[in-house]
Amino acid sequence: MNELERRLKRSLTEVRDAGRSAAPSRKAVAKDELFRKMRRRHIISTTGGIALAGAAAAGAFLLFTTYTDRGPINEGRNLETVDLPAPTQAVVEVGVEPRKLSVGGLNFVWSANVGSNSVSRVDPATNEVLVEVDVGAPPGDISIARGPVFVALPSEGAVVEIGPELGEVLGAPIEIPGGPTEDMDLTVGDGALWIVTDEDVYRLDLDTRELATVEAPTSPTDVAIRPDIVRVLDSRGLIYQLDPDTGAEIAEPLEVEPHEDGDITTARGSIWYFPHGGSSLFRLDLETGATLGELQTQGIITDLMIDPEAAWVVSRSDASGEGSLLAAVNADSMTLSPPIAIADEVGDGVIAVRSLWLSLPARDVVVRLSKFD
Amino acid sequence: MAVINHVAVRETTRSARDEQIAVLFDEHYDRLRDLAYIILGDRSLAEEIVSEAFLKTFTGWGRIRDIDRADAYLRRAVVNLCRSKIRRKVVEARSNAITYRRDERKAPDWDPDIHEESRELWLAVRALPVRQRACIILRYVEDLAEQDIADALDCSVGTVRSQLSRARRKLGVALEGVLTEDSR
Repeated sequence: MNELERRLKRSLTEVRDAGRSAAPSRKAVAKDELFRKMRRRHIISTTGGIALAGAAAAGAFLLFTTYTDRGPINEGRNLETVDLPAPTQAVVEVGVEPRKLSVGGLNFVWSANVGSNSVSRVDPATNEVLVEVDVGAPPGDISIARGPVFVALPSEGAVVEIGPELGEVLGAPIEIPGGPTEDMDLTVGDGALWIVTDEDVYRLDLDTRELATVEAPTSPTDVAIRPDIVRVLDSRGLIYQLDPDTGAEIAEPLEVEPHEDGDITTARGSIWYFPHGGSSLFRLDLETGATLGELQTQGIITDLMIDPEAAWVVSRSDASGEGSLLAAVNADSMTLSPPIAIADEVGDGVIAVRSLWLSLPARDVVVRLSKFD
Repeated sequence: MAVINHVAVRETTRSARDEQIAVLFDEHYDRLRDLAYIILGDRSLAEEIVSEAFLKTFTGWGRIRDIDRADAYLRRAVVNLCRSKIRRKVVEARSNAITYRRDERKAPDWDPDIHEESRELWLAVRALPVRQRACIILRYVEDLAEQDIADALDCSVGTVRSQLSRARRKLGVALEGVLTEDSR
């Protein structure tokens, strides 16, 4: 141990001890509170429900989780049961702390389970987990090509490839030159896997498995792919327009307001953009980046799910991040349905098989909701 | 409204499980709170994190294969929750940079007896990327071996080594004016 290490040990221990003695311990209170919450969680899990709610604009109706405290059923047994009111389609128990979701071939839904270092494949025909694959580190994003499933391992600075049928890990991890990173987004499109880390964009050719660094964007935050063009948003609010085959810039960057990092998606002939940490959703012109419409949500937007038939936005309902709001977006009028309260944090959402699939990390489940009645 | 689904019915003896959690709480609460505090620099938040970690342990009880390693499971949960909390703060900070800077850089409730060097050192540690911060704290406060740090952070031993090395290099640079040349 050198001098720096000795000082680290001494100083950090001093800080820890000072923190310990500076305030009276709340241990007893914390213990009471924990057991009260445990009892409530037990009650919740036996009686909690997902209730029906109206989704205004489309006349669709959805469900929301509102856990109530009605007293235990089967006292003395640990019934970790979630009872769902019709027409909720299913609650699927996956691995621990599912966050990112993705949809692949045959509409299998995949969840990335951060707490169990695994990914689960859910069969929408039966709402059962067909396979859970140990990927060896907390999985970040998942993206699915025509065959393989790619799983980001940000803490390892790597991407692993999984066979879609048997769920076996194929070959050695693909290591990213930049090494470990806090975030890593994956998007498959047009013969390539695009990997966005905190600092770089990479293009993995799915035929040759060649990994190339894309030079243009600085501090990229998201990528959206169409057959003829790849768009990468950077932290200054510039959308770079790249050749899907080479990664070279093929047009001037589009400038979006506000100039912040965020998420972008291309759908319904527009670019959809929401800045991180904000409550605005923008619909932008595909060619110019000009704002075509804007709407405001309650809370901070965390996810947008959009397909040709429906669009939904998830936001955090409070500062603690534990509650969420789900609202249907009318893409033409840029208005929202009345938001639906969800008692848990929503990790991610996808649309598949005419359903909404939401991950609830605190409950280790993926919930399938009716998109339409 | 008709109930149409029942999912994952597990039969375990609740009282036995609760008893084990109570023992774990008594044994490990203080140490875990200290760990969360030194990562986050916020005592109240540290207590919340530890309670949440125990609650997660409760909800995931059926998945704990080796109860003797429940302390490692709890430590991993605390570190992961701290990392999530910091990541969330960073995301929120992008919409409110001033608040973030104030929250992240404000001095915690300092004990006046803490040496100036310790304050500077901790501030430098708290400026590290979250995983490097966790590696340093697990190594030098928790005295964990590299393999145990890897277990706590869900990464390889190689990653722990590289993160520790980068963190020490950054600390060396950041503390140039605080540490004497020969101390690095």
